Amino acid sequence: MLLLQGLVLGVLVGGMYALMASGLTLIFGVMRLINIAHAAVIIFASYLSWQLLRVLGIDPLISIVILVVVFFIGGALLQKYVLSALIDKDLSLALLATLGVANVLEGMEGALWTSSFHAINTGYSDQTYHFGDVYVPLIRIITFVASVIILAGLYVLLTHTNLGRAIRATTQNRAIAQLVGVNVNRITMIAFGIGIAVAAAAGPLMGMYYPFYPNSHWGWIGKLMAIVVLGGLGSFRGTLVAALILGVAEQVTILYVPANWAATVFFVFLFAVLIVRPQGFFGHVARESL
Amino acid sequence: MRFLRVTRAPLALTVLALVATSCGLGSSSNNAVTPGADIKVGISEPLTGDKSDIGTNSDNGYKVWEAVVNSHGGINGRHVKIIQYDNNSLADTAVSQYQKLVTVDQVDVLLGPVSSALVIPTEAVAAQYNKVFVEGTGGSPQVFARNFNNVFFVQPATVEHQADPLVDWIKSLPPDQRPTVAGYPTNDDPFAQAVVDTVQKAFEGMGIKTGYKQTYPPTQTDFTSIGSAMKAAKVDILVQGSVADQDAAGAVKGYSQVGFQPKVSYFASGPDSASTWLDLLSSKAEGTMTSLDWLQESTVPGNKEFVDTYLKMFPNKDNLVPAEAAEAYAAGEVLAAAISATGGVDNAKIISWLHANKVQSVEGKFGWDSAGRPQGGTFDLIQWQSNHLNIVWPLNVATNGTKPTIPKPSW
Amino acid sequence: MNARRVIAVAWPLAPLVILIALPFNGLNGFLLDLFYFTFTYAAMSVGWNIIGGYAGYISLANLGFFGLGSYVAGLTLSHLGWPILLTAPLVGVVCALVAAVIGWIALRTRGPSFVIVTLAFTFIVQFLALNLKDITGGSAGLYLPLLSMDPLLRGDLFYYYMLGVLILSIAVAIGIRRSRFGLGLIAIREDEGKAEGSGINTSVFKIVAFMISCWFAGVAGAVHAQYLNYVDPDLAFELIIMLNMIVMTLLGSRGTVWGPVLGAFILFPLQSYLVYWLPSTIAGEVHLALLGVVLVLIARFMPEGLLVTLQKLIVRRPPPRLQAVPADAATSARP
Repeated sequence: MLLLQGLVLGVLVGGMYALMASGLTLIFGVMRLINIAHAAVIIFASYLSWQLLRVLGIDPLISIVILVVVFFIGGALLQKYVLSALIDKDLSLALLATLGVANVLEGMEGALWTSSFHAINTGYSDQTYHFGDVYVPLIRIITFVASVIILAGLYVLLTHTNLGRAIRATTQNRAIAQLVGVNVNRITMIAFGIGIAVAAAAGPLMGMYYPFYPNSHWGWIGKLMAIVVLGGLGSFRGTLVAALILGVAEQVTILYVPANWAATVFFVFLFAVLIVRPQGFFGHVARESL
Repeated sequence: MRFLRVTRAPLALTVLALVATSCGLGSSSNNAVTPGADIKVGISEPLTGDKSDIGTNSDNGYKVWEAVVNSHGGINGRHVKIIQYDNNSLADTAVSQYQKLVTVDQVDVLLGPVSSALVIPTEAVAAQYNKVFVEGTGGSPQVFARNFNNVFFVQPATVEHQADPLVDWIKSLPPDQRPTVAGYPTNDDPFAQAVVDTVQKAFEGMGIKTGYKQTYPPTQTDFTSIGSAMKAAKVDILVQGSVADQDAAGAVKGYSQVGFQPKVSYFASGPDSASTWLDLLSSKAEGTMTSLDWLQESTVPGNKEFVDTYLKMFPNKDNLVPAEAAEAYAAGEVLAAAISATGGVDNAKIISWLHANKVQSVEGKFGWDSAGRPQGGTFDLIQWQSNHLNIVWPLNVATNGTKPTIPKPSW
Repeated sequence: MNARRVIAVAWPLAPLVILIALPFNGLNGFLLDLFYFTFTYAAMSVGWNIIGGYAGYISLANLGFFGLGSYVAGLTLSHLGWPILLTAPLVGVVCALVAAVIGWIALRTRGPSFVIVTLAFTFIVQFLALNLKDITGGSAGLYLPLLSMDPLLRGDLFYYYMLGVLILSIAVAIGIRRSRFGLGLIAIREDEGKAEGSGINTSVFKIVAFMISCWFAGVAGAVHAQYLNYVDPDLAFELIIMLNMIVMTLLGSRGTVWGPVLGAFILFPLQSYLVYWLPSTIAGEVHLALLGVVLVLIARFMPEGLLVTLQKLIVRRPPPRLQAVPADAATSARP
């Protein structure tokens, strides 16, 4: 029974992990860039959603729509004016720039919202359903369903639209994509914007699930990196599967070992993958150069 | 040729940086101490960074102390002047700032920063310079582990004894009412662990079984799994080693979501945050317990003046005074008593006087052992009852004639 | 020409003499501390630059090795009684050996796994420090005996110790820069495929560079443990340490010998004094954000760093940093 409880919670949290990690993998795919600020962007969106709820009474699920638009524009601008210039020059500079962005966001959050924990509490935050002995908090169902809807939309965008085809072509081979007439620079900018927008969508959901504080993004970026490496860097489908695997593994582990050791699940997987199969289990782009 | 030109720039810049750093800095030293001059008190507090909330509360407490002391004409006719820096919650910075306070600003005495994590590295600086170091919030066992004789912790008892009133109360219950299985989820924090370990030992001695004992990381935010495990272990008394209202409130929510309903719920920290606990939990707060060293309504001598001055200087809508402010204020009171009794700021005299005397502060009246552990004070058990925080044990100090509610209502 | 040549080689002696003489002129405890920290950061940045600047691989593990060094040194002191200031170089060797293993996992292949593994490594060491309670003391940390000596003398001791480590780091950096090994690292940075094609064993080069880099982080961590008399899983892995290392190196000039030193000597004192000059809320909260902004701005507008940018202004010629040729070779080739 306990195991079933763990499985259910694991799948539900895995859905949200998938949403959190999918932007990271998309950005890596198109730019070969590890966005170290990814989790910081998610936390920043959580704060904004908290603020919108607090001041304007906007439900976090609705604030997703606002944040997605704003963050898409912000991400695209960041890519256009800062990162794109660096990527042509030296990709490691772009990586360090994202490290800088992570710290800017963290410092700003500390200044605006102090260092204490915040949590997004709504009227439905505390409701729970139980089926037999399995308890399922309503909020987890909501975040799971919302994550699945957003991911499905992203999937359709990537596979059934011209924009999506262009993004996938750029991911697979920049030079050839350019040759067949894709405006690679523009596509990269849009794809980065989408990646950041997906992170923004994850923010309010994450904030309803877990409390957050300015430097909590460091814990998350470690988890997200483990997910995208297991999924094969840059592979969208791989990331979804990896997120579910790690979500379940974490929630089941927590039932049998002390909670503080459960966090190692991610690192065990990460190192195991890198030692055994550096290209990940679902993709094959990890070997390519930084 | 080129190599030469190339290397001049760093030379010039290095020298420049050196000169810049070494000038302009040593200038403020060697202030002669004249009798009747202000008593300079050095403090480094985390006003920013991840301890900024409690750091600001504590700092405000020190400011209130400064204002109150000076409004009474100072100590022995000398006014108190606090020299204070913000250490950004970084231990390195705090250490370097205490170095600066002692060697550059040449303060007379030191007061400690908030939290054990900052007290532990900084108390060593004070010890090296043989400066008295009075502090109100760093009470983890490690603070006293190195037996520094200059450190004085101003709370009624060390954390190991924080939950003593809980144990006393449970002991007083008739056997059929006593809980039988205890759960001890504990934040990975020395303070919280010390509280929980003492309780566990006492409970096991009374025959209360340990059904669950796990440590969770400071970043733990999801308590549903822990709740499920405790429910499966049939835990009926919860003693949680929480460190703040955040992890405690997160735990309550998680437990209620999975239907874990103990008869007694005690938190090392959390329910005492009068301003946020109800906000975070509303009706789920009912029946939760913790221990306190100080209560705003306390009738201890000096408390009213402290509370009134605090609310005048730092007004807030709920008229609440945070505990860290009282702890800092009490540290100031203790220091002032020692300066006043020894007639000056000879740190060696102050230190030996404090080791020999009990001091009355808003935290109560108690003395210290050779390592600075408080001796002779006690904590009180408090419980949320009908949205109000009551002292419920020991019965002789219970507020509003209350006693502990057991079993507590469901959350 | 000959005199100039002497100056070109010997100029570092001037600041060195100043630095050695300074404590004799009555530096107070606070300033001794300030210099100690500056030397520590400078030595760690020079170390970081060997993997991050010469070889062009961004390492986020140096923080992990700083913490690992603190713990290894703290544990050998508390269990075996070995004084840290003597064991620190050996602690560095332990860190370098661990770095070899991490390097083997992450540097066998080209590409992004290195930055991920190094960040994960830092998290893991911190995690173990926190959770292997029986060994490390967990979140309570390790309490080390104080060096019983006069506080000023103690300050002098740490001052000269880290000055020594800094000098060593610069010597190593110069040595590497002028060796075939250094050439190989720069070749890897410029084009790893070509470097491999020209017969360089890139994996070994990268791993050795990483080991040297981490030796300095480990030594700095070990000394710092004794300096604080305390090792704690939060203090030993403070992320701002890593950010500082990187920003200092980038600000000074990545891939040059003196850049990281320059960056540390500018940034550390500046940061310390901002706290006293500015209102604390601004200095404190904005501190981290400001470092981040500086990092983004340098990466975007001055990626070559102060030193190379200034050299360009003075010389108006492409600087040696971008050429896969050591500086003195370039000088002798074009007199």
